[in-house]
Amino acid sequence: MNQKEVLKSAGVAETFLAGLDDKFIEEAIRGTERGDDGKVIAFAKQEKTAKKKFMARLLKIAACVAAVLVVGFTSLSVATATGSLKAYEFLYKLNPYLAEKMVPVEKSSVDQGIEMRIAGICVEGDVVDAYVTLRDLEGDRIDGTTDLFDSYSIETNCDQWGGCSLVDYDEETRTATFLLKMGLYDQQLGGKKMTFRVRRFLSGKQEMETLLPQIDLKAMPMEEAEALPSGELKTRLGSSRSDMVHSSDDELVPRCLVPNEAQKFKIADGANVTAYGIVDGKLHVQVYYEDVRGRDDHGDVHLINSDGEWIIREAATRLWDKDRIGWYEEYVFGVPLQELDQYEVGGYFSLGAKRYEGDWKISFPFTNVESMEVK
Amino acid sequence: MEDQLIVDLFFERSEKAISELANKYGRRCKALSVKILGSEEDAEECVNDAYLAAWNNIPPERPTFLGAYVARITRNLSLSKMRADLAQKRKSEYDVCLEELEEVLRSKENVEDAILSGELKGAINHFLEKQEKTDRIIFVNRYWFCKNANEIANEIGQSTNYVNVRLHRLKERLQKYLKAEELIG
Repeated sequence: MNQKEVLKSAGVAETFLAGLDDKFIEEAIRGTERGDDGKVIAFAKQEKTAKKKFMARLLKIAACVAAVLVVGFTSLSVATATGSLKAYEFLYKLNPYLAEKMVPVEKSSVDQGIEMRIAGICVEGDVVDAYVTLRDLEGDRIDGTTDLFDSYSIETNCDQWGGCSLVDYDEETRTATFLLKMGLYDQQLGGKKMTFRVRRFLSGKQEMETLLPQIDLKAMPMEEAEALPSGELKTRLGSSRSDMVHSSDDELVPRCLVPNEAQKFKIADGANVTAYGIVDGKLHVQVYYEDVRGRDDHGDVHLINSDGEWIIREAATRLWDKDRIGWYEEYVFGVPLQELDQYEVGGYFSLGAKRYEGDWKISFPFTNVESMEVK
Repeated sequence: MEDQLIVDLFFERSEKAISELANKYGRRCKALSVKILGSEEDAEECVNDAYLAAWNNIPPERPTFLGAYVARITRNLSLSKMRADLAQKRKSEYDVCLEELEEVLRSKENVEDAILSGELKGAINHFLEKQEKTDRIIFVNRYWFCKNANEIANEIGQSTNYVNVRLHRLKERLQKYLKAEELIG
């Protein structure tokens, strides 16, 4: 295969690799770093914990065996044999690879007519994956935009990391499924109890990708627009402080547009473009999100070229409004000004969610699956 | 020096930022670039360009993972240069590892749709989330940093066979995962 053919066929592999998250690159860098003693840090630590991990696996297996005896299910194969086919099908549909390792868990917590259920968990070493579902027993408050909005907590009696993201929404059963991932720092899960708790969620978001034709770049005045350092602007807007995407130091962020009533227009309920123009030789677009704190209104603005490709902003700054409920977000683009007329302005927005409060809580110990305690 | 202190130096516009960045990540970036370009001289140039790009972009950017940040710039610059030098026929380690990955991704159907819809781009992270840390480190070092099994084995203090076996199993799992997700046929 010659170089050209390699490149042609490499398109798929390159695309695949291009999406790699920085955290994995960083992990790979750290994973091969050597300490002062010349040993690879990550693997030296692994050597030390290998024995502990082996013991933890034994404990896990023992727990699984106990669960099979007492409750009648633990592994999916056992679950299938004993009639938990529905749970198996559900997990398999979500992720066939992970489902093979999942232990179905049919425990739930109900509050405000909303049921939270842990459908299955998978414990591998010191990492736990759990599928958590939310279903509305009384109405249609759960939808494909349901978001736990950082209101969930993973409580354990040891140091841990974790995250939770929406992985599926079933229209038919109106069930939103989240994948919860949790790990412990150099500790074993055996004997630990985990409590997953949710206190609020958002639903009914309007998510849209839209053009913003009101910003006509072909007619964009090339003279500098009225702008101020963000430190001065926040005084005018009455904000108590500013929050910057890229810097906490006002001196180091781009100057911001002064909101311009003449340019203001509504994108949708929850967001307005409040100004746009040239600042320090670059195109700026300013959007005001009305309720960031309560509804998680958010979005992003990009340019679109004649091939339909998105040109991502090179910087953004944020400035809380005076009530610290909404904020002004300003997007800065680095395309040459003489080429601006070749672009359109577009954006992605997630606005107007409804917020629901409650208290949903499920606890379970890892060494004793059959005795899960539910609120 | 801690990454965030180096980033602070960039914000202070101190030239020491570049030397600290080079001290900490220069060797790794150059090795990555050499894998792609197959030339020490070209790699040196790309790494210097990467430092300049970091200097121009920080601020306003404040990377959370400085090592990954500069490695990504280096990789992209090296790939651009490689594409520009198509006349150069020599097959680099980058080509070899892409071919290897291509075998896993080869498909008569679906894959183009997956590319178009952007699904394939996110699949790598979803797949890696499910892997053990050791496997993730090996996978990223092989396919993103283009290191061969022997180098990875030396770096992690394991045998080459250990790395090869892990890579083989990883590729099998990746293929299984992509099929299950209907990203390849």
